[in-house]
Amino acid sequence: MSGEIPIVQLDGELDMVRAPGLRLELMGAVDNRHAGLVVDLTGATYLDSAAVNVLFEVADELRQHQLEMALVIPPDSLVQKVVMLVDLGSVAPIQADVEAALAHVDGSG
Amino acid sequence: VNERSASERLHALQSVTDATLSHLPLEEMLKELLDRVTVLLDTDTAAILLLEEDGRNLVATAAKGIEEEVERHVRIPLAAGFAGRIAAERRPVAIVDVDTADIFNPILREKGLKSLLGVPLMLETRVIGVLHVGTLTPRDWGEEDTEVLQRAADRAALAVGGRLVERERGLAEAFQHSLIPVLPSVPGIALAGRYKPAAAAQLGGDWYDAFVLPNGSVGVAIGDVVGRGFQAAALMGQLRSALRAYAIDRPPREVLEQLSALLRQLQPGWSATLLYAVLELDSGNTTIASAAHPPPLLLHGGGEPDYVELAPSVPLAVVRDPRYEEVTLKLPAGSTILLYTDGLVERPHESLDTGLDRLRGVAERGGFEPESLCSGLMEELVAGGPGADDAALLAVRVESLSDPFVMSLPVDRDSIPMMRRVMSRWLAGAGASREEAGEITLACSEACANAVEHAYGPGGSAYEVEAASIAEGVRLAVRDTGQWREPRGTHRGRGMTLMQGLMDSVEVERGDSGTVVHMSRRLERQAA
Repeated sequence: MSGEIPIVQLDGELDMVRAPGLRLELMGAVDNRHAGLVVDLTGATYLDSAAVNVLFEVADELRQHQLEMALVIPPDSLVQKVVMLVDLGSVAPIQADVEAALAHVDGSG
Repeated sequence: VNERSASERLHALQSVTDATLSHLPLEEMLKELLDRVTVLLDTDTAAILLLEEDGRNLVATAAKGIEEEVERHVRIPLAAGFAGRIAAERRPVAIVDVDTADIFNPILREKGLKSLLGVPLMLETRVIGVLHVGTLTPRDWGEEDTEVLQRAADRAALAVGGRLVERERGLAEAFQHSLIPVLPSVPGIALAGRYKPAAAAQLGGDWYDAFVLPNGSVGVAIGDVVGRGFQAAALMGQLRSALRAYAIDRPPREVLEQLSALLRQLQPGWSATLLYAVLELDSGNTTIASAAHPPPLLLHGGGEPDYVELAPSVPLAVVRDPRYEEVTLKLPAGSTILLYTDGLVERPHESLDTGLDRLRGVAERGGFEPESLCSGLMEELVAGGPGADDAALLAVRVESLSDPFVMSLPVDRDSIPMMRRVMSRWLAGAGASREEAGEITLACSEACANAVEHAYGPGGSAYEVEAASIAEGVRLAVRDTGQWREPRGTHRGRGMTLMQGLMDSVEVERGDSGTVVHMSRRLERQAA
């Protein structure tokens, strides 16, 4: 099926100060017309455990509604290292770029 | 009928405002005065009504025999009835028979008063109130009665006037004082500010402010609302609050543009000069936007101080939708930036350049430590005397970071972004690459988050972060005075995972007096 898939771009420092807002931004981007969500972290320079927890929670919540969340992350970066350490890929598959992420979400729906 | 002679009575009146009364609160002092007036004039009642600030109503302030006046907060419009007429016409009014007279205040009739005599309270040429007396039996007032009552009124006016000025001045000072900010404590940065009110206790519109932004940068501001008086000071307070609100998520240029629009809306016709700068604690980069404010002075570690070059700009609210520009400069360790208002440099009959040269000269001798720099500038440059303008100044110095370096932070998650920036700067100094600094800083912020989150109930005080170079890299310690709890729930524990993944070693030392997280990390330290 080929629904509309929102892309949320999160730039800059994703930390505990921004975490509550991230949750609202991500959940607000999706509704039941959508096949899922692409979170583009290419422009993110920092990602702490508070922001990571939000990404886990949002991915879990979307799954309960049969929606898939895919991630695009900046290569060879602090953000990539964090994503690998906490195994965020286990709930939100990591894709090479936004195109691939869209295709992945579309295919999973 | 009174047996005492006029001179005796006037002499007795002297005692009404003697020194023993002057220490009483105004209302009590007036009451005491009324007591004596009723005795001297042999009347049944006496009352003082004062004109309200807007000059439209008289309000009963003290009363003897007709205390209800004060209790019921009787207000009498100027020119209405007995008391209103005295104030409006500024002359004594005598009423022999209340029943046939125009009386506004019903209490006077309720009390059964038959005759009234009242005089204005004058302060120089200004009416500030009315003093009146009444009798329950008809009385034909003599000239002498009026004279004695007017004397009492003059003394009351002096006392009231003195107290009013004192009260206004006290309020003005308290208000201005309340607007002087408490400067934040920022590791690696020294801040000092000064405010000198205008001469003659006039309220001014100068102000300064410094605060930590949510992203951990430091915002500093200085401004000057054009004009004097209560309104200028009140506007300054509003601008200061609005600046802090706009600064949360806007760059300096936009903050100024928003403030300009706000000021036009708040008080059409008013304007202000303002300078706002954001200092990034990791890089030292400082972004400045100015609305026609005098340029900051930069003091380097050595050499002559110089002024920051700013593009010409208009004050806030002078034109609709002004566009402001930003200048970014780097403040290395050891440098100081000085913000000030024109009260520091301007003198009558002198060009602004002369004042700027003088400031540069004094600042150069004043040293770089903000407190002593500010003290020196205040002493040498701030003019006293009548007509002197108010002045504000704020000095910010970027200090070099020691090794080992210790910072004490408030138990508040808002302190963590600031800690990150300071830690980045320290790590760069310790030879860490950008990547290494990013990873170590993240691990440290996770330890700090744990300290803030788990270690305290509400109202805890501070925790400490220590960083030190060791042979092959760096070690960090995050100390708090609370007890860690084990992570709970599925999302807990990722902070520890990150610390362990980003550092070479992580040890949590739990003690009776608190918890310490020790971490270390090797650095590549590529030879330069």
